[in-house]
Amino acid sequence: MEYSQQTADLIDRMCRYVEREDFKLDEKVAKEKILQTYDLFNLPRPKKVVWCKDIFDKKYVTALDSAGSAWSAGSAGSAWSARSAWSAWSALSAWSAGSAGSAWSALDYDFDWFVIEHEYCANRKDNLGDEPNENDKKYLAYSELLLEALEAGLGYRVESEDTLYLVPTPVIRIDEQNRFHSTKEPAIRWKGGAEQYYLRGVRFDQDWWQKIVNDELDPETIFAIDNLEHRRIAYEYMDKTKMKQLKDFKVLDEQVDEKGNQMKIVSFTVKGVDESLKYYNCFCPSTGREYFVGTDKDKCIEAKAASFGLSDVGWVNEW
Amino acid sequence: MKTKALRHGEIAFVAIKKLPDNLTKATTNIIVTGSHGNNHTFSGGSLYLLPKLEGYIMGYLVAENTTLYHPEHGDEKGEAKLPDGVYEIRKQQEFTPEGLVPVID
Repeated sequence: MEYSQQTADLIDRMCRYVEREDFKLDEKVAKEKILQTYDLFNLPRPKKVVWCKDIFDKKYVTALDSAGSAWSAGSAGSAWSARSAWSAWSALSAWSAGSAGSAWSALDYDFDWFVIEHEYCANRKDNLGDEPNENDKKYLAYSELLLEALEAGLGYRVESEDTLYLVPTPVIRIDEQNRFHSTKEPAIRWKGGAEQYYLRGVRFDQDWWQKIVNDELDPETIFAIDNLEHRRIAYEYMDKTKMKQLKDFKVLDEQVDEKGNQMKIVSFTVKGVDESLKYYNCFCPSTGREYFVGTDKDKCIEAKAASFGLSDVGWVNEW
Repeated sequence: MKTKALRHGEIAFVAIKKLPDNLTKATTNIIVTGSHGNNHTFSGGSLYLLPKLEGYIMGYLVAENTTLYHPEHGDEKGEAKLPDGVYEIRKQQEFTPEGLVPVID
């Protein structure tokens, strides 16, 4: 995507508040900026302002529930699907979409449009169409106030019964692909509030996260994890020499799949289970991630087909 | 004769000749909800979801200029083009000592 230097600067501002290293909250400035959005549209300011510690705060969730019914879930959904992952802030906003139904209460939920509108107005040379009008200018002024509130540390707001409920922005940690990730601390945390642990975009309970990053899990435990993504991440962080600890570990079959990726059938025995456990070991053709899928087959091709209840398959394409 | 299928992560689209009778068209574009917020969605075509998994089959898709979406399965934009046709949608399952269980990702 080509855009002007001014728009590049705007995106940098958005990334900076999401990528900040520590908490920042100037309650006075944040509150004033959000209240100025009411002034902009000649709306009365809410009578009361209440700060909540995070988006799971009871007061906030209750306010969301009552305010949410008046909101079009469809429009929020379409905004998410249109959102591209070209900057760190989209990771946080996308996460908000799945958390406590708070997508639309995030101040930056509509910021992809802010970027587009900003570029349209700021870069007239490269953008065909009518000259920006008063409504364009008002939208930019509104979005600028939201951005300034975000820069002051405000992340979410909802109004209910003439009360404005505010939640600060959490501190987040992401990896190079903008996924929530940290091996050192919660990937999402509010000061004195909720903490959430992620590895490569996959959420774990703190206890599991700690064991995985400290490589405290034995392979038997990892293979018994029922969630395939949790199993994959736990295996990724495990010292692979531990595989030798597995009793009777064998590779029963090795093949290359239609996409050129290695496949294996591995088997081993575990305490308390008479029969050997077998796993179809494969790689995702899109991400290159390594998976182990339980199977009762001895051959890779059979195991792959059988995992979909099929027996003789020509795989036309895979993603 | 081999069954023709296309795989999109933990779901497979198996080419069939025609739709079974008595299906209800879905009003959603979500084929499967991912446990980590990554849904398999689509545009173009018609989706028919079964009320519950029947063996491996979770529904049907009549693909007409269909694009599948998932942040982790597809091209760099998370898109995959499904050839036009009628498909049975199958959910991957894994074998465990306690029996078959749908793959949770």
